[in-house]
Amino acid sequence: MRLITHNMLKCHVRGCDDSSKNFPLEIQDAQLEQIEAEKNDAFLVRMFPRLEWNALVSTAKNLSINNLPEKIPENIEEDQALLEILHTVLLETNVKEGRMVCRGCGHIYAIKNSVPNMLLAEHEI
Amino acid sequence: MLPTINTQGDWVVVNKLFGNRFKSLKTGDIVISTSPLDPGRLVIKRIAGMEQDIVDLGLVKKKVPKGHLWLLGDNPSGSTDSRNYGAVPMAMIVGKELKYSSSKHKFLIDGIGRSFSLEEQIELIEQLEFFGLKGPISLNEPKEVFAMYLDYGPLFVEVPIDDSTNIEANVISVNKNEKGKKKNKFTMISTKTSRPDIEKFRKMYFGRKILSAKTSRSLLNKYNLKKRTYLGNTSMEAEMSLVAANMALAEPGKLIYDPFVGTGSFLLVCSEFGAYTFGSDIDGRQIRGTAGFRTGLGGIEANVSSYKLSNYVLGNFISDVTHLPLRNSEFLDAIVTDPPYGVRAGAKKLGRKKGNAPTKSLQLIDGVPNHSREDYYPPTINYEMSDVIVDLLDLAAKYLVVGGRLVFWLPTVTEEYQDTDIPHHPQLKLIANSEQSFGSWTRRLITMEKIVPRTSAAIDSDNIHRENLESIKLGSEIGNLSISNSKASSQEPAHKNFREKYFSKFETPSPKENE
Repeated sequence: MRLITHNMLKCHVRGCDDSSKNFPLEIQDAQLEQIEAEKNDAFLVRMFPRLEWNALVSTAKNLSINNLPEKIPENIEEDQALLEILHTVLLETNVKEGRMVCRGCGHIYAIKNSVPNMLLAEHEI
Repeated sequence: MLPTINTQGDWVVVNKLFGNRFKSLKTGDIVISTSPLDPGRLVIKRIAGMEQDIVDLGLVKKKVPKGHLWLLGDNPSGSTDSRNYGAVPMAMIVGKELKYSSSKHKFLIDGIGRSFSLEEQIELIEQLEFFGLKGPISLNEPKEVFAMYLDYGPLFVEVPIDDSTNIEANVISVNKNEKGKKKNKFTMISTKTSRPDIEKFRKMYFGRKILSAKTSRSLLNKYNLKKRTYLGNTSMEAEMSLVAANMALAEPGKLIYDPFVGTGSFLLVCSEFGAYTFGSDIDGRQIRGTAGFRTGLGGIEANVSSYKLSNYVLGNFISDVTHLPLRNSEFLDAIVTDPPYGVRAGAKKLGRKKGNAPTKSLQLIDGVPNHSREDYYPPTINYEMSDVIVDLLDLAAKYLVVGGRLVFWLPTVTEEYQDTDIPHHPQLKLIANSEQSFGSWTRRLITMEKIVPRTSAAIDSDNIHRENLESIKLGSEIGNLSISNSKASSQEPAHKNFREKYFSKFETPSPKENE
């Protein structure tokens, strides 16, 4: 799971509706992998407003990636250095094994072979 | 234009001129123009003078006006030309003669609805002899390429009907155990496609290749399922996947999602066009490639790397469409999917059949709650086709950006289908509804575009979703109550219970059979 995907995923257990806790999911015991991908500025600029910036920053920090600015950046299309960082974080950082834990209900979503399992148990739907 | 071109039997291929291509004309070129004396006719003449040139008329000299040409025939004594009607305005020039007859050339022959053997291609090329090509044929370095397309219309599929004369040939008896046991008979229904007669084309197109435009036809071969590393029994063939990607406007920089990703065909083709893609499926084994007849090949990832698309295919997650873990945001440029319709693989969603054993996910097994064990897999129930479609529309309304597209395949019963079967959503506009017919059933490629943002207060998306679902339920109840009343049952979309209809060969049970 690349971090761009992580930025879109929230906990959807029935009753786990507190948006301050069900997103972002906390990545634990992560085995990270660096994927090499070609940078596409147009895509990054296009995706930027669709990202949850704070969630991205806190998730990255949690994985010891500390080079993202805390404050939501402006005019990113002119900021080559930032685009480079954004590209590396979003598209080249892959969680190969690990788990995502909801800070609200504690549900554990396992990540195996880069594929997160987002299925819910019977009592959670 | 005697003596250069005969009045009968000679062919002139015209290079039509437009825009600034008129600039390519020069003195000595043979041109085709509208006759200044009879605008209904075309004449062939040679340029004797360009604009501003001085032409010698014997007694006097004349300057050709701007935007005009001085045209003469090659046979001065018999030609009617600028000496009679003066300089000809450029606007009357249709084109110039294409000098092809001595060029190295080759032919391309292709058919729509039919292919041609090498012998047939040669036969067709020989019929073009009148064309007068004297130059050598060169397959590798042609200077001119002439293409001929023959259109035979859609394929005509014949399905033999089981009647008394051919039933013997079609029945295989499996009767190894003779001891009074039931005979197992099954009927082989073979389909054959008739090959249209070579002369029976609807239209023929013939032309000269003028430039090498980049087309995507080669992708048909590149994404041919036979070349796919990892396949499932529901993988969609190359052409239909590529068409779906086109309808979704897959292009560089877009983000496209497939909620029934299966073996990932749509991710591949959308990413081929430069889009970023990801998918989900309730069955993780399909994604990882650990189920079905081709295990151990590495799943979707294997295809992604064999097509060198790992730049663009972002990955997949395991999820149920009715319980999607996506945060509320309009972030997708397109949703492209082929929902499983139950013939080869049925759609499933999380849940437990009513009346079955109670919730087991919380039971302790070896001191651990069942659902947190590593191999726990939640129970699933069948996911009816018409519900899938309604949920898909809801998904699109929620997560697409305005202008984003929902593209999906809808299997339906040819005879029962009505355009009203396609559910409506006030945030989505139907763009196209294209049919691929298989005889008694049809697959439709539905394209919708999101036109209203979700934040629009006037629309209560959840309510519409509920109403859509309820109208389907209502339809089925009416249908069940009075099968004989066709008007009432027509409220039910033809794709509802598609699986059952498919396996009953789309026959409505008659009262006799029910006894």
